[in-house]
Amino acid sequence: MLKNNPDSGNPGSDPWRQWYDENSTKLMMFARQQLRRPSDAEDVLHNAILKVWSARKRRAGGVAPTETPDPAEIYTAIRRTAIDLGRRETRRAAREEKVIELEDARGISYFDDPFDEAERNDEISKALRKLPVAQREVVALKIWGELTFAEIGQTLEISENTAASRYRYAMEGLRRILGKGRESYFKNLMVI
Amino acid sequence: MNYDDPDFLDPEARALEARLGALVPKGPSDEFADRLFAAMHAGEDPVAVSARQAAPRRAWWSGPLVPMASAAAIALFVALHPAGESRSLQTAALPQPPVEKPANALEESANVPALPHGMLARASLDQEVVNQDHEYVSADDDSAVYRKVSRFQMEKVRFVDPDTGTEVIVEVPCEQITLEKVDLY
Repeated sequence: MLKNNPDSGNPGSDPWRQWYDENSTKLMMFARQQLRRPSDAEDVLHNAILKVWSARKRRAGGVAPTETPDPAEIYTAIRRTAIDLGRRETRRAAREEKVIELEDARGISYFDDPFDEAERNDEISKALRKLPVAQREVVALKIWGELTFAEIGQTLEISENTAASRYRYAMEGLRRILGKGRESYFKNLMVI
Repeated sequence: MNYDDPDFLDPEARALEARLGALVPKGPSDEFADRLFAAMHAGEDPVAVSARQAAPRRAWWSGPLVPMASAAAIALFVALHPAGESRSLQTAALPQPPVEKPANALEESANVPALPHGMLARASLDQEVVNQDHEYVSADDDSAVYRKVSRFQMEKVRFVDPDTGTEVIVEVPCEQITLEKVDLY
């Protein structure tokens, strides 16, 4: 079913291109849970995809692979690449903090905003950022990655139970953050 | 228990989940896919590609570690000219009579400017990125923020003494610094 590959020079029928087009937003969403700066998330995503692609190419004896990655494989690669980057860059974290605070203050949204939804979406982005990374990544994988808890557990190297617990805690945390001082928020949600 | 069953969550959490699920996450930038697939077409190594994207390659002698490179050249000069035969740097800087160079010694250095002191010819053989780091700096007038990328690398360089034809290969530490404007959205 898959005829071409990235070396074929025909991007229109490139299975990796199709895979990328279908998955890039959810992969980017997951990468952004690992790193606060969108540019860092892009760097990690780039390297993670290339790593998986290169590994498959090596296994195929140097031929460009046609088989695209399964979700657990690519999410795991993104996470590990982000962890590696985090280790290397811990020492400059303090220097970056000022820029990150500036960006947070400007409310960089995780989402493409319809005009009338921008403010509310920005609020949700900020609320997500307040969750621990361990919970955020489960939320990203469950809601936008559309993985099951078993798949999330496999990706994050935790049990299915732990993945589900983190998700439940995350939802509670979001409700608490979003509903702070606004009892009507969830009533509004319920009638959407 | 089936955690993926909707009843796993209470109604309020399910409403929030539905609300979140309706949001469309932002994808990578428009240029991202082009860069990624260009790298795939080129069959390049992820680390090398990433480093290359950060900045175009610049020769080590144009970086801020020139003093270190110069020190290495001086040390090499001393090594090539044992006590009793060595010339001062001032003497070495004077025009020297043309010397026939050994075959193949300089084939890779045709477009490379001469080292300080004009006494050694050299050619870059290889380079290896040792570490890459970056920090954020503001423009003087605070009109922009830049990502200052520092790339540390070891460059393997071949030196040839035109007087003696002696060839030495040394590894020189280099640092390349580039500035990329940060898009703050």
